[in-house]
Amino acid sequence: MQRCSFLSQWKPKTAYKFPLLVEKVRTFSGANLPLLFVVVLIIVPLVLFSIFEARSVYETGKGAGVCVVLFYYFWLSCFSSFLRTALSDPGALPRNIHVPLIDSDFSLPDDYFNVITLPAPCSDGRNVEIKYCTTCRNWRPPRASHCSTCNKCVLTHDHHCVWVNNCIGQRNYRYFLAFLLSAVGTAVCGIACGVVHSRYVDHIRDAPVAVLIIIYCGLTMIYPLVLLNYHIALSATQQTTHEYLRATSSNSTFCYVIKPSQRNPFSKRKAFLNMITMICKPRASSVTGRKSSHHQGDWRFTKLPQPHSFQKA
Amino acid sequence: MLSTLDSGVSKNQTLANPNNRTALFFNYHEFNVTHYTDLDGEVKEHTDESALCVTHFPNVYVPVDSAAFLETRVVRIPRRFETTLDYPTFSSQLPGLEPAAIYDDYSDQEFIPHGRYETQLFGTSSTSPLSNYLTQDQFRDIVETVNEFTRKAYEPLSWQNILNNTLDYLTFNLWNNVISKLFVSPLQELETYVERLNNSDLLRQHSVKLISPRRSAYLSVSRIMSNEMIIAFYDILT
Repeated sequence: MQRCSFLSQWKPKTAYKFPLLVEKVRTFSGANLPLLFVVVLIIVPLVLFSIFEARSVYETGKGAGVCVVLFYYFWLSCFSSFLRTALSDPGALPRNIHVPLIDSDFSLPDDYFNVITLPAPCSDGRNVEIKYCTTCRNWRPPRASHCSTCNKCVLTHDHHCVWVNNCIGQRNYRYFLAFLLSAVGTAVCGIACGVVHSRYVDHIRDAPVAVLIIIYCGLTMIYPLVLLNYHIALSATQQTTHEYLRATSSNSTFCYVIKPSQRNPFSKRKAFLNMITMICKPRASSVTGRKSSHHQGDWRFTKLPQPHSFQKA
Repeated sequence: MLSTLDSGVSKNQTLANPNNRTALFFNYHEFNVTHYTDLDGEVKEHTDESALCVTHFPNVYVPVDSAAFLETRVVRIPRRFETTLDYPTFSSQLPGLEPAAIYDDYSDQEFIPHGRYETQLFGTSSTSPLSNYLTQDQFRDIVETVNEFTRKAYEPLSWQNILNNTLDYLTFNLWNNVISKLFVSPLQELETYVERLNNSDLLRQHSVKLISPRRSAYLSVSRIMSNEMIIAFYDILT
């Protein structure tokens, strides 16, 4: 067929190779500086703590030992959650699953530009709205949205996080929250150890690294802590960052009380149930097969020409 | 061409209150075309009443330059949201039987071609060629089995899932790797089921094939059917 000649193959970029993990890891948006900055930010306190603090704090007594163990435990959890958040598939959707027509450059019918309202399992008039993604050529399931950085539709899209260089979506939201929680936990344990050490020396001058760690942990804790609070409030009201920002006017996002959305069909109206359904949503399997190979001509990885409607307006 | 959205009544479902305009489910994949070729070969613009309803689509599961692409068509079974939003469920009604499906006076839940668009035959109702091969009961059995697998795989409010999540967090996100080695995931069972179904007599005798929902990202289940002998009404199957 003639028309297939201009279809360029679209493939995820291969950005990182980890020799230790044997297989190569693909990311959709390539490497970036903020991610490396976060890696350094996570590793620095571990190095400082292990060299200067761990031993002296551990030797001060029983209670302090627990702090040291907890610090390492939270640090490991933080780092593994960080890797999972950054490197796992957020729930990206393959392309071109719902191509309706092939003639006249894969044009789209007018109906595909409408927002479709469909009934939801709510008796109070809340409905589900779905939209067709003209770039990915899929009917997006509710809550999925197209990430302009990754150029992919992502299931239950929360936001694109530059610090982990990945989208936060259905499949890695829990890792993201685990990362925030563990980062705060690590910082709290770091501060506790620093305080213990500085109280056991005669003069504060004898434990400069302890002071440094207290300041470092205190500062680096602020951002994850704020973000964690924000996400606890969001998940309790069954909203994603994307939905929340869309519902909020741009000048009132600071010091704004997070309220549940009345029109959200996903809301269970109970904070606990909302949190479970959002955070514990089963990850299931990746549908883009990021690590698996695919054959030439696979529509899921093919770029189609920009859409246009074939009917008169 | 009539729709329950316009008339408030349907052959499939009578609305309790025709004036109450609540959202009704319909197959969002289908659309209407008015500029098409009549069966006698004349290309012209038709009225909205005799618009063709496009119910089957190009087979995007094979390369565009393959023979199978020309020989097969896909009927898409959409996701439905009335029962639950926690896990994907597919419509267990044959296309054309949904509450807000388009129906016409010619066909009685049977696919009757009315015109040609992009070399393919289409009718004027939401009924797809699939209705010629499977009965509503056979179809419902298949879709409900698929839905049961997705429920098991995606149900968030089960103690097992909450426990798994907690243990996963406590074990540096390694617990789920262990679990996936020890137990077969319901989605893997679903793959096996689809394979078994495609080899069953029911689908083989009609050359109908169910595309694995994983392949279409659990967005909509697709069934492939042949149109090689398009004049002979889809009688050669994949």
